[in-house]
Amino acid sequence: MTVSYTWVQWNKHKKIYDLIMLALSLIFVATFILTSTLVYKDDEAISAMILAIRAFGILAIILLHIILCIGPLTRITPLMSPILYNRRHLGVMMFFAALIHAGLALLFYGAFGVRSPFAGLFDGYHAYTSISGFPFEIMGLFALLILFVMASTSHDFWLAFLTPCLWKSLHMLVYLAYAFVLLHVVFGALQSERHPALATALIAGAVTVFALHIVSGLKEFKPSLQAQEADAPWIDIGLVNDFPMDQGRVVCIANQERVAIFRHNDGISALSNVCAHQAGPLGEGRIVNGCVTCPWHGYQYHADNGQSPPPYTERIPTYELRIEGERVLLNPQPNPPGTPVTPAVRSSEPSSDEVGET
Amino acid sequence: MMGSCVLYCGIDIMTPASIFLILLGMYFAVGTVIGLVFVIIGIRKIDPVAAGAPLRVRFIFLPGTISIWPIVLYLWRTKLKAGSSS
Ligand code: HEM
Ligand code: FES
Repeated sequence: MTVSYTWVQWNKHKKIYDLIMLALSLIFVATFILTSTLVYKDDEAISAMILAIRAFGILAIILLHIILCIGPLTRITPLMSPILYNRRHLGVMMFFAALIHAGLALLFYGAFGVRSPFAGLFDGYHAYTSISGFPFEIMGLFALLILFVMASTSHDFWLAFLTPCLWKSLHMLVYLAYAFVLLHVVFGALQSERHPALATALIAGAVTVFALHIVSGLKEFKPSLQAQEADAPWIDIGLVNDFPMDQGRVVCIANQERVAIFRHNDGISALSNVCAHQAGPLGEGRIVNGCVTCPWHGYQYHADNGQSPPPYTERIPTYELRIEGERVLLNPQPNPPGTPVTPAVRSSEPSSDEVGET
Repeated sequence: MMGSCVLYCGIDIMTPASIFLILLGMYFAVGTVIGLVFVIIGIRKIDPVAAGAPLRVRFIFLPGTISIWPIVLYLWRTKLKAGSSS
């Protein structure tokens, strides 16, 4: 939905969201440093620099967990959609937290000594930061490089330039970055056996991310509807009243292909379930101001032709529907993106024994 | 350390680590040059929306070009070709 580019695509909601996240992050860092200073005293005292390094590292990993959990959570409950809406800004914020962490670590352990700040990355100071000597910083560096690729290509320009498919694949690298971060923390921070709390939190976090992805994956799975022999290729997708007013429904046809069904005014329309923006699930969205609205970032489409309202130019495939009695039938053959289709309407008033369910 | 190859700043350039970091630095350096050309001139020919954006806005695309410049070069070429043939 891009008509012009700006530095950061902010609107009022996103600004408030970003401000809240930024404030929470700063409060976290300050609280972390302050409490650690109060807890570890005298002999155990830790320099403020080390505390800052740890605080930003932990902040980054917390943000990373939130980012990884938002996707599956929105599938499980729509309550999370507002957070998903601005996930990209959260990603950039996480990158900066990690960058500050890495920058401070390199400065502190490297440049202030005799060696080059980067030399320590691979072979410098494991003697006292890790038992095995595993170069955990290099894992951190790999993670940081991936996060850099993602943060730097997060602008909508890149989405258009790379095409949503390539962009999405690139951003799937976040899971690789996550793996590197886990190694970085497991081999680095954990091996110095400072805090069992960090170990517990790390395991709990990884289990949560994993479990949420499994649960949302299961929820996503729907048995495919098959065409009835006699009436091929049309597929019976249910009763008219199965489809709530102005609220999307996803049906799954052969090959796990998904179709979004919308009932608006008197008619029912069918569109591809895949949003042209980042392949969000349109069928989990609603009709807002007469347009099908994607639950992920709010791209809109006319239900009867799959086209975004002007000046936008996105188009998605449409499907033919037909209503027989009270049953809704779908032609599984998609029309080219943007093809107008007259919404299916009941041919006559339903007979009395067919009404009743709401 | 392999004394013969220690730069004055203290990096022993013969270790795998230094070689990796030097390559990484070169990757970013090349990316910066390509990125500057891309955001100042290149982008205007291939993206009608970005063409309308002022230079200071287009500079926000610089870090992205630096990070994935091989992909940018490839798509840049494909898009130029597609543009000139149509
Ligand atoms: C070049 C990249 C990086 C370097 C050089 C680096 C360096 C370090 C160092 C030296 C420590 C130990 C700090 C200490 O306990 O004194 C550490 C811990 C940590 N790092 Fe990194 N890091 C990098 C990237 C990352 C990234 C990308 C993340 C997460 C997104 C991250 C998250 C953490 C966490 C959570 C800890 C544990 C903090 C603690 O001990 O309480 N690091 N890192
Ligand atoms: S996926 Fe972003 S708006 Fe639909």
